[in-house]
Order: sequence, then C-alpha cells, then structure tokens
Amino acid sequence: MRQKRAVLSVVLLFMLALITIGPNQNSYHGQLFSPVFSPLFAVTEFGSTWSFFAPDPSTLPVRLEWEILDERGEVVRDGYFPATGFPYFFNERQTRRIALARFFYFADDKHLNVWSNWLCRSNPDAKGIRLWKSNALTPDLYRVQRGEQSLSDIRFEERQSVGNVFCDPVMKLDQAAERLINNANQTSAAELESNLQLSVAQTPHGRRDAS
Amino acid sequence: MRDRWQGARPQFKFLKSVGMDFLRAWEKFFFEADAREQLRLFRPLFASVLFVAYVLRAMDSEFYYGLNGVMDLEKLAENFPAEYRWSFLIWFPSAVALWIHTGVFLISLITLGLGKFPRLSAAVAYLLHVSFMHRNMAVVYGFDTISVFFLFYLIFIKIDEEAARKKSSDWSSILTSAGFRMCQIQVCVIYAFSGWEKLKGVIWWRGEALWTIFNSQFARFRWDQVSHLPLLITVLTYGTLLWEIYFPVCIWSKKMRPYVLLGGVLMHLGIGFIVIIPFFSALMITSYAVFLTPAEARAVLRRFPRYFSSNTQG
Repeated sequence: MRQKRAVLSVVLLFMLALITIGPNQNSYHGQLFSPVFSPLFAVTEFGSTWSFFAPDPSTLPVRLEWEILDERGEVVRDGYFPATGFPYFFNERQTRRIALARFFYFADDKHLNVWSNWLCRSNPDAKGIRLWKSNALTPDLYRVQRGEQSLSDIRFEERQSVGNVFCDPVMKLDQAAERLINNANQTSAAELESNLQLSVAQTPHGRRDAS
Repeated sequence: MRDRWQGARPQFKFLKSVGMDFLRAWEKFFFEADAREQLRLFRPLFASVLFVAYVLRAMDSEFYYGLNGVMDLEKLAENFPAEYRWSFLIWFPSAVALWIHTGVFLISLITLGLGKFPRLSAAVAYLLHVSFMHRNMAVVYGFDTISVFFLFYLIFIKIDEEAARKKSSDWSSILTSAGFRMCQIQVCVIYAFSGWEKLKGVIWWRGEALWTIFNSQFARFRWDQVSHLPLLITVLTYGTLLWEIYFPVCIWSKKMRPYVLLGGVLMHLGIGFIVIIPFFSALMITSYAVFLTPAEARAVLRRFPRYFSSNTQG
C-alpha cells in the first residue's frame, strides 16, 4: 500500500502541474514542459484557459452576415447568424449558437474556410458567397443614464468584409477572372490582381455533392 | 569539517521533521478525506445538470456534429490542428454513429448519477464528452471545459459504504479521496485563474465590467434602469474580482467558508438570471457540494427526495 500511495502521489503532483500550467501555457514553465504537456492537453482537453469575461468582457453582440451570389455575381439573398433575440424555448440552444458565431467572428480564416463551406453546402444554388461580420457597440453607461440611448435598440453598426468565396469547385479560373474584371470598374489594376489572387486561393470551397 | 557537520545535524533533523510533517499532511489531505456525503450529493446533481444540458444540445447534433453540419470533416482537418486530437465522430462520421454516440453518452450520465458502475460510467462519459468536443471545437464553451475535469475525477470515485463502515483504508477509498480533493482543487484553480485574468482588463479596473456584461449578447434582459446605479455596478464588479481571487484561499478557512460559498451561490444565481448560461451557473453551484462538511451535505441530502439519499451509493 505504501508503494501504491507513493505512485499515486507522483501522479497527483503531475496532475496538479497539468491543471495549473494548462491555463498559462505561454509562460516560461509552460513552454518548458510543452513537449510533454501539449500532446496531453490535446488528447485529454486539460489545457483549458479560465478567463470568463476576462481580461475585458468584450461581450459586444456579434453576428455573421452573408450574401448568396448567383453566376453573375448578383445577390440572390442574404442572411445572418445567430438569429436575433432568443428564438428557442430553451435558451441553451441559442447560447451555443452565439458561441459558434463568436468563434468564427474572431477567426477570419476559419470564417472564410469553414463557415463559407457550410453556407455553400446548405445553399445548393449558391455560386459564390460574400461574407461579412458585424458587431454592435456597447451603449455608453452615462448616455443610457441620461436617456439618450437605450439598451433595447442594439444595432449592428460596425460591419467588416471578411471575403468572397466561390462555391463551385469546377469554376474555371478564366471565368473567375472575367467576372472580377467585369465587376471591377472602379478598381485599380493592382487591387484587381490581388483580388484575383485571393479569390483563386479560395476557389476550392465546394459543396460535398458538387461533383 | 567535523564541527560543521555537527552544526548542520539539527538543521537536517529540522528539515527531516518538516518533510515528514509535510508528507503526513499530504497523505491525510489526499488519501484520508471522508467525502462520502459530499460526493453522494455532488455526483447525482452534477450528472443531472450535464444530462439536461446535453439532451438540449442533442437537439442540434446534426447541425454541430453531423456530416452535413457546420463542421465539414475535410475542413476540420484543414483548419484545426488535429495532431493528438481524436474523436469517435471523426472515425465514424455517419448519422447512425452520431446518435449512438449521443445515446451512450446520455445513458452513461444517467448511470453515473444513479451510482451504477460509477467509475465505468464516468470513464465512458468522459471519453465521449471529449470526443464531442474534438469533433467541433467551435461550439465549446466554459460549461463543457469544466465538465471535462469533473468527469475525469469521477473516474476515480466510488462511494463505498462497506469500506467506510470497516474504516478500512483500501485502495478504492484512497482513490476516492484523491479524486474528491482534485475536484476541490480544480474549482480553486478555475476561480484563481479567472480572477487573475480579470485583473488584466481595463474595464474591470474601471469597475464597469458588469455593465458590459449586462449589455452582452448573452444578456437575458435589457435593463436601462441599472445605468442609474453606477455605484452598484462598481461594487458588484470589484466584489466579483475580490471574490474570485480570494476564493482559493478563503474556502479552506472554517470561519470564512460559509460566506465564500454563499457569495458564490448568489453570484452564480445572478449570472444565471442575467446571462443565458444557466447550466454553467448550475454546474458551478453544484461543484460547491465538495466544499460542504459531511454534516452539511447530509442535511442538504435530507431535503432531496428519498431517492437521492438512499440510491446514490456505488
């Protein structure tokens, strides 16, 4: 029993190191142990950081917006995610949707690569998607106090373009170029070239059933 | 040389006695805790909270984890570092596998709550929980990450009344005691890091953080009236900071423990009411069961239906 206790003590010490280094992996000791701990964190999910509403709450309302484009690059319809308010009887369902939206809001590359892919798959008629993200601003405490602003009129005031993607994987490069040139009357040649490169880089987003 | 050795001996003796005291304290703390009553309260409550939350998540399983859901498998591999991350749902991505996965996970939570094959149930629940997380990290939030740890510690916990009656310190009791202590320490770690992280935030220093949370996307209500109580916002903001930072210390003081726990219950009830993360609040309040004394846990258990107090052994 004594040996078992000694072994368990070593395991406990290791576990204590794991749960205290996990939330602070960028520290010196975190980096020092990372060859051992990083794989463990990935396998076990023990590497969580604990920063609820911290360092800054930054809980500004966000949403993902998009426009579904047809072959001519014209908007067929648009949409946003998550839905406004709490449309579900159980709020938990909306909580996760907000978490999902926030995840893509703060990771443009994944927004472009993963979210757009889902939009393409769930909109079979889409030839392209134009992605945006927008956020509302937190009303100023003192302006609300003076009655100049209200919490209930949240508007998604700040809107940023995330990028454009083509849904059709077989879309030819020259078609894409032609479309860009047609739509770029006011764009300089350099911008046009960079747009073209960006769009070509994003072309492989395809519907699962596109082939 | 000899004089120096003789002079050092009492120091070695002192160090040896300190070391032995530490080892005794370590063993007593980790291996001899009587946690049956607390765990009889904690485990079914914890499993119930998880069960309800994950039944609700199951309503959106296809969207989050399905083949036609938001996270395409190909894109998952491309965009999320997959080294060492594993998931049954990546190996078996079909809709049938997803529902089997969900069903077994929920059943394991039920058996865990009922104390049937508790260690096996906790192990199954833990593995499937991590499997869900790895399939789609984008929908993971605090509730899921905290659950990981408690499910893991419950793998070592078995409430063995027979062993307790015989006062035997068998391997099973030692593991249970160690698991119980790790649950306690985990709660302290969560609050400590959460508090320290907040100290980095300008809005927390300004005392306006609660105002931002009142206006967050997660806020259940829009309360303009709160703006007329800036002092309350400041007090609550600093109160949260102080409470989180000092929780890991004060919770071990017999005198302060009840107040710390009461503060925590009020804070989490407040969060659950204001922000739409009620399961997170429920989970944290449930975790306080491991900080009760056996007598307090027994008193709480008596208020529950008889089922809880009699059938949650194992």
